[in-house]
Amino acid sequence: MKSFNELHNKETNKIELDLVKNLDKNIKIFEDFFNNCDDVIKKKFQIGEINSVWGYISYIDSMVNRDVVEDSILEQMIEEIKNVPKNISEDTNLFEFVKNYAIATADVKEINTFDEACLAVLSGDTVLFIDGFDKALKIATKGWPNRGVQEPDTEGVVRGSKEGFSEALRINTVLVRRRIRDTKLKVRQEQVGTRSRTDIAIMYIEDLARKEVLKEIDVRLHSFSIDAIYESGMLEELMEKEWLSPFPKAQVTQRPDKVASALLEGRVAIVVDNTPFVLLFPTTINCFFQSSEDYYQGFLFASFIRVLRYASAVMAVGLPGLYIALTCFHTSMIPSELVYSIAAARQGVPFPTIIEVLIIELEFEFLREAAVRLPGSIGSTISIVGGLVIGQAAVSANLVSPLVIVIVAITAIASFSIPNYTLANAYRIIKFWIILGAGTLGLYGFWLSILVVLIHLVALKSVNFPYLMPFVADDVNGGQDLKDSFFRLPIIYYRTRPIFAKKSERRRFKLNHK
Amino acid sequence: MFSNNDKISIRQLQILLILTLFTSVSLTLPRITSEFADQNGWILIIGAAILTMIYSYIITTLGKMFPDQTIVEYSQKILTKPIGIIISSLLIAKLVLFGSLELRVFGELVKQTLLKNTPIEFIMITMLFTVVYLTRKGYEARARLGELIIFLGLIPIILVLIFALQDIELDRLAPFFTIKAKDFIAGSYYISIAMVGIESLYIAIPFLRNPKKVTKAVIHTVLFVAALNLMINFITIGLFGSAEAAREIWPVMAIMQVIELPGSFIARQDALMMSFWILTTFALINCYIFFITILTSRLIKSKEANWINLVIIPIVYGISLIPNNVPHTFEMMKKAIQTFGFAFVLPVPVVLLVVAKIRKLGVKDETNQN
Repeated sequence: MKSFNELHNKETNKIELDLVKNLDKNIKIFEDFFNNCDDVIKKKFQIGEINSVWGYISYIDSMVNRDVVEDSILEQMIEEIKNVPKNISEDTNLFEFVKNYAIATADVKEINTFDEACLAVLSGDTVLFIDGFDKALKIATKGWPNRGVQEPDTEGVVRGSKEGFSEALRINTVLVRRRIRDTKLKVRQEQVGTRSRTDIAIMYIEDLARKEVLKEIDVRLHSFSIDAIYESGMLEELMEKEWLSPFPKAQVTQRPDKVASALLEGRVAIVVDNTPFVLLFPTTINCFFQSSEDYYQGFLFASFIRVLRYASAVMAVGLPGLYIALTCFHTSMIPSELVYSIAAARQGVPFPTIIEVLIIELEFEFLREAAVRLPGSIGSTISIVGGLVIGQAAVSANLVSPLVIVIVAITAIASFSIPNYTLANAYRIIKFWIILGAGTLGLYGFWLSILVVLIHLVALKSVNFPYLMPFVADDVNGGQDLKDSFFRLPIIYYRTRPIFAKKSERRRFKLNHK
Repeated sequence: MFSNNDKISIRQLQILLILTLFTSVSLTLPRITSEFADQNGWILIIGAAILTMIYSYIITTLGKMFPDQTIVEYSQKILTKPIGIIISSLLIAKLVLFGSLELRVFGELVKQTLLKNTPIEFIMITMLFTVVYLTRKGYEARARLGELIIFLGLIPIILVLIFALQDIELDRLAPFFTIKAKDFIAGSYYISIAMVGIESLYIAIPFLRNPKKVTKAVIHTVLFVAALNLMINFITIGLFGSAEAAREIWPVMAIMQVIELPGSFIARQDALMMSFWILTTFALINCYIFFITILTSRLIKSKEANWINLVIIPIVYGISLIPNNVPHTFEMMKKAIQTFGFAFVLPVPVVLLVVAKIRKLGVKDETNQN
């Protein structure tokens, strides 16, 4: 036999050893693997009375549902089999008997290797070895503490479902399944991470999702090997091709209704265990501006909000840069009354405007970061202190002019009205790039830096879909997708699915005339 | 679906053509028309549009016979290798010259309207680098950016100009039709060859998803650009009269200083206008640099086009610094248009087309038979 350490494959970290017929040998190897793992429960017991054999059961405490283990497995084994050992005839051997009659739960699988056995125990299942058989039984007993279905803390809505994803993969897929009762909704499970063996589920609707998208996602999922995946963000980054870009190439959501609607658009969702954030591929920039609430409210109001969001996105990126360009380089563009008041407000401020803007912008970024990291009660104190420092002290100390504070405050509020957090983060970075451009070359530099961002965006792709999709290359889908961009039209106009879906399965709405 | 084949649609080609044709001449157009035909300059624009349609018809017919080749390949096929190489090299030289002068004009315009104290070299070099950044992203990215620039640059320009309509005095446009035939022909001819951009059809056809429809689409585009130019000319002459328009270097910029935008709090519209113009001029200069890159890489059969950009930047930058001042730049441009302009829009494609027909080369075009 190989020495103990060589049993693990160097690349995949999998145990390459099959089970043997002798129970004691199995137990010896198995317990060697779980040496010094005191959280693993192991118990050897006798099955049957007359033709009795030895069995061995193992699970991790608190990762299993105790009721299932005790009532459906142990009690059955020890009580039932003891009383009816004669039922075991010649052709049904003891293993089949235990599997079919003695365990009172439906989800039972045969396993043949130590790798499967160990993985089963480690993911909260119970493993049962029986003497004389080179296979074992994996009994699904998963049941660990979970915070349950709670309201999502991002993407809040006034009207709409208050359910949010939680950390358990199974609960998350069920939340989606409950919204789409269709056998064509496929949930394909895989494991990523050689050590963490994190479960991920790829969800898609078979006849809507494009084959080439699924294939591309598959290729990218298997294009790397990593020791552990803790959050979907790591997966997102590893699956990106243009990883230098600040823009998120996958949409992240905590809302099951959003995932359900995305699936019906032909997109693919990747659910990762241990995180409430689900990834959606492919993504265009337009998706980030669609909140699920848009479709639950009247179209007029929703359209108004949409326009507001796009406007706020432009402001969050461009306003400080534009202010610098106009006040430092092109004062003649501003009406003279305003020039005077700006000049008066700047009286006594020693810094150039760009430094002024940078001071306040950076202070705001510090505050934002501090408020996120600090515990709730101190966080509010920080925001009061920060507000006072920004609002009053900086102005009266002649560090900055009040107008700059107004500009930065508007920018900040605008950046909060972008419904997606990851996109807003990208905007925070680009804002500084534009400030730099405007600070060196005025309005010309302002436009030039915007051009650079736009060039970056037009070449960007999310799973081969152009990132700026409905705004560029819209004729590919006959101009349909633009209907759901700046405005949210009445639902009767959304007769076809967006570009993500297969061409043959486009229709999603039809009026049934009497 | 979207594959990474770098192909563009007919609509995207139209958009790119609108941007290049419009930007290459519109800013100075009222001056040119006034020099040739005073208040009747608008007739020249119509004449120029008709000529441009003829050019584009011939070039696209030629291109459709070789749907997966650019001029570099098919000129060598039709007129033997050495002559083909000479033709392609001359086309590259023309584009380099025009690109450099356009860059200089742009630099001067930005300096004059926006950045009085910044050295023009800095303005030009930053523009050039941004242009090269887009060039490296390929044709598809150019086409998509074109779609955005139409909305961010061109449509605002047109909207702002519409506000000028209220101040127009129609008697400045009278008397009509007092134009000599000689001036009409000379003026139309000059404007038609000044609209650089039709040459891009020599290269664009292999990048199209559906090259068969290209002729009709290009002719529509030319008509659209002619309509825009007519509007600009009409507004400028109507506001200033032809004598004033002929004196201004950039008459369209001059009208921006006069226009009152209703309810606007922006005090100087020319700076506002300029910011839109930056975007469209970016598209034009990018058109030059991109086609220089494509032609060069195909001529020397290099798969990697990125290093060519690095060679082009200093050449274009160097040439753009040659003129002494704005009038000198325009003088050089005029000379360049008169010497280089014509050859590639009519004689070269006609010769190529005739020889190709005689030698029975290329794919038969089915659309012509319908």
